[in-house]
Amino acid sequence: MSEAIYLYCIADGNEEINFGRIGLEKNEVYTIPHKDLCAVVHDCSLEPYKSDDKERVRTWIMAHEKGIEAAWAKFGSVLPLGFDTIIHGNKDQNAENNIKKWLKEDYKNLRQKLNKLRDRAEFGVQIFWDPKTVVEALYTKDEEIKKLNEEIRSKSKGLAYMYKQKLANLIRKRMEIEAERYFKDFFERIRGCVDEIKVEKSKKSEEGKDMLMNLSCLLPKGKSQILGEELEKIDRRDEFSVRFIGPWPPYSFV
Amino acid sequence: MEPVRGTRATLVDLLDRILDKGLIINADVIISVAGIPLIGVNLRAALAGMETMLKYGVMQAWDERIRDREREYRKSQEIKLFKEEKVALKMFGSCYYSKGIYTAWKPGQIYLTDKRLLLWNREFHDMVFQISLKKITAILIDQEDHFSQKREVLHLVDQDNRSYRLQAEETPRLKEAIVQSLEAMGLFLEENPVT
Repeated sequence: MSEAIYLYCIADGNEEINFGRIGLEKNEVYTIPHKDLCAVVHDCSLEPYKSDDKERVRTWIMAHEKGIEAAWAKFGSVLPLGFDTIIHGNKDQNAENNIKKWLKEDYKNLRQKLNKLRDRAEFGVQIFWDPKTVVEALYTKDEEIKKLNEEIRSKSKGLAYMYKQKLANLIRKRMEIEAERYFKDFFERIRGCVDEIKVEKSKKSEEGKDMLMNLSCLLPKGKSQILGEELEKIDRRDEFSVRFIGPWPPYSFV
Repeated sequence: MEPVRGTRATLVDLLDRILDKGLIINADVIISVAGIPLIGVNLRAALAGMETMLKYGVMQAWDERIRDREREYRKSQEIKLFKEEKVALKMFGSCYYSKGIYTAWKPGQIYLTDKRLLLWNREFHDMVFQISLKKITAILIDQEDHFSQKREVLHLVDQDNRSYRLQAEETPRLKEAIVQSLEAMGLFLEENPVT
């Protein structure tokens, strides 16, 4: 009997299956059924997986994903767990019984979630904009900015400096308004194409582009076409670019 | 537009999800430290070098830039002390200032050093007030009306019989500290100062 059990996901089905040695460190991934659902696991020692070697860590994480994907393909609905979720035993129960106990106690909640996520996949949508293009557009579009910019030319050096500061502030404010406006617009359009949507933290800008929004979207597996078309419309515009990624197991919706 | 997966770039987004998300078990049978997934943090440290865009949000990046600028600015606004001059006490305060018909309490940071008492306004890079400790001959706290309240004001008199009014976050403590500094320097104050 193993000391501890590593959890990949909860899956919708009670078949006892051995997926083979696809797990972390080539461990055998198998199911522990309870009623009509099961935990997808491998046996491990009490130590969490932890390393400073990034290649090793990456291999582990990909194995974690692979275990979940295998169960996902087989059972159609899974609740993925985060990396390194390990159940240990205690003095009355071994680790396997602890998992069964948890499945029993939390059954209703797990069942509900599995139903909701049946045949659903998670996609990532990230929309970037190029602040330079947006600012340039503001110079021709925004009357107040246009006026201020023209005034600068007629001012003495000292005054021009002050006006430039004023202009910079105005542009920043306008950019914030633009960002909010586009965010709302895109959010509404995307929401119309998906089951569920989660706003994630925007990430650091790259190659002169800022991330305007970072979303996780839940939609039926294999039905990403409508969303894809909507995103294409946004991506076609000069100032925006879109990353459309996935599908993944529904990590963000459990 | 077709979704993309399995590339190196999308790996980062997948890692974010595997490390930060997924079903959370509220049970005392999982390995964790006080419920915090320290392991995820650990692994992130290992992965940090791999993808630069992994962790920070746009707002954070902006924020850091702004803070850098602020730090720069502040450095340039730092008060210039004499060599080996030591600050004994520092608190916010203000100093009464009058010139012609203009009168005001000018705010700033009060510094008591082993040589001087001064009031520095960082924003305007302005030495509002300074006096060598050696020149202080009398010191006294008085109650003054301040709008509808009373507040304690520190009066200083110098060798030339000029008087100054200062007000601080903790005026009595400031006074105590000045008196102690003077005594430590072997200087004594007039017993009954007249202001």
